[in-house]
Amino acid sequence: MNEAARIAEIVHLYPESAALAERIAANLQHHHLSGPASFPEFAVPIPPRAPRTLWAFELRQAALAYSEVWVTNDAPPRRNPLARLRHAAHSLVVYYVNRLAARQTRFNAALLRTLTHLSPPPPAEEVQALRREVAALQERVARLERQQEPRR
Amino acid sequence: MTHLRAIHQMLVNAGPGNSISQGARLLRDALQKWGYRSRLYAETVAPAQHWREVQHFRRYRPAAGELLIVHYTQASPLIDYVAGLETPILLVYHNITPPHFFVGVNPRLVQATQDGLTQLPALRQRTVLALADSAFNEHDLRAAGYQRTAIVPVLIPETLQQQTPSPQVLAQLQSSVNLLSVGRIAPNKRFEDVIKVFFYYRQLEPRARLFLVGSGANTRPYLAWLREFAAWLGLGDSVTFTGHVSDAELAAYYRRADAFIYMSEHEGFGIPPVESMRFGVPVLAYAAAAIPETMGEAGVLVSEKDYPVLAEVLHLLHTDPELRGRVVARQYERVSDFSPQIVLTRWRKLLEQVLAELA
Repeated sequence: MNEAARIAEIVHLYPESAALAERIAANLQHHHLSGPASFPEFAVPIPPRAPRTLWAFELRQAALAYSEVWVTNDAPPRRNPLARLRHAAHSLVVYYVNRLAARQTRFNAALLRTLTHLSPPPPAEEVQALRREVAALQERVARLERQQEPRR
Repeated sequence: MTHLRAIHQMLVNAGPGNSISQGARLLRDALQKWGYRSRLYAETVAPAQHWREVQHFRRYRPAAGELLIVHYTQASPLIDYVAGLETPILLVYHNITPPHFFVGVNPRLVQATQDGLTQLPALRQRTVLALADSAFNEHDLRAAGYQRTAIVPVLIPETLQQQTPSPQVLAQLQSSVNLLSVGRIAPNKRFEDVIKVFFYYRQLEPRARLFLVGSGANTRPYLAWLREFAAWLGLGDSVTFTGHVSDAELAAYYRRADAFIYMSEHEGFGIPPVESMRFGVPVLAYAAAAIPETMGEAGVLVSEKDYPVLAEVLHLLHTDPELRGRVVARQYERVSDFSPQIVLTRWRKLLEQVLAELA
């Protein structure tokens, strides 16, 4: 597939997608835009259970728990003045603890993203297995959607 | 037509800057014009003077011959309260952002969105009709067990276009090429992708500036990360995070915008693209969630985020006035489908059906 055809598949401008794609392809060749090979991502990736190595297990545990440093004030406010005062004081403590928690979460997230970048790629056979699993899931979703369609 | 005399609305938050409550206000005025008693009830009410007419939901006293329109935006004691009443309900579902987007950002939002999804089926028994802003939202309603559903677009008043734009903001944006993105600074909006597009676009148009308009008050870790990210790319002062802005300032940003970018990955409708279309600003949007429905055949939609390609699209929209003119003309055509008159006509038709069945 040439570049213009590829662009026409992703850029949709009714009714002139093909013409626009031609122009974009020509401009891209002319402009030589450059950028980093990959960008940082905000979301902390949760590694899959495979590969079955120690680091992968620990990295997954950390990714699942990195933001669980927040606290909540679950006790409902009461009418008793003393209890209300205690509740208000507790809420204030929770507020300040969570300000620290926000900073800690940010640090945890950055550390996890770094470790993810540094972690070795999973073995080829595990990648193949995961791809097969994704394909099977996609097929299952498509089948379920097809089954649901006539009911709507 | 029916013995129903009053149609009141319940919403979680009411205030002048809240688009759902602005629409509710417009609907209330229309309901009153159609001969119904109609009031607005909310859980939290902004202190602005002209919202004094909104009452706290616990002050609602149910009476025979009434229908409640409940705007569902999040879990709330208001929903529990309404679920305990005998009054028939017309539910309007405005979508809930999936909780995973807020993990590591704000635990209260994780909890609130999770609770919002859990609480959604609570009104099922007494809901006579469940409305969604889009087919995307309708899918959520059906998954929550609502059998009778219909689609009505969000009622968006046309007041922003009539607003006098802030002269300060107009002056600030006078001599640059301005890219705009509007929305709450939340991870589902993917503002980092907007910055990536801008990073490439700056290579084509060094005078370009990016304005990210929206509040990040509840998502500070994400906002802090975005600032660092923009600095890491060397974009420095060319990216502005405005925070919450007034209507006059927002109108000025739209007036001076050369293009609007929307890279959101979860959107139940997409009000900012509609506002952009109304202002005649070409929209470049990622075709996710309800955005393709909202845009129809207008604007430029992309199904893949190839950032250099997206930057080239913006470049063409800026440098080719004819192309820009065609895009804007199609957008004006599309946005007429969301005019309050058309949306209210749809509301009236649906209400007539519902009331006929209740009678």
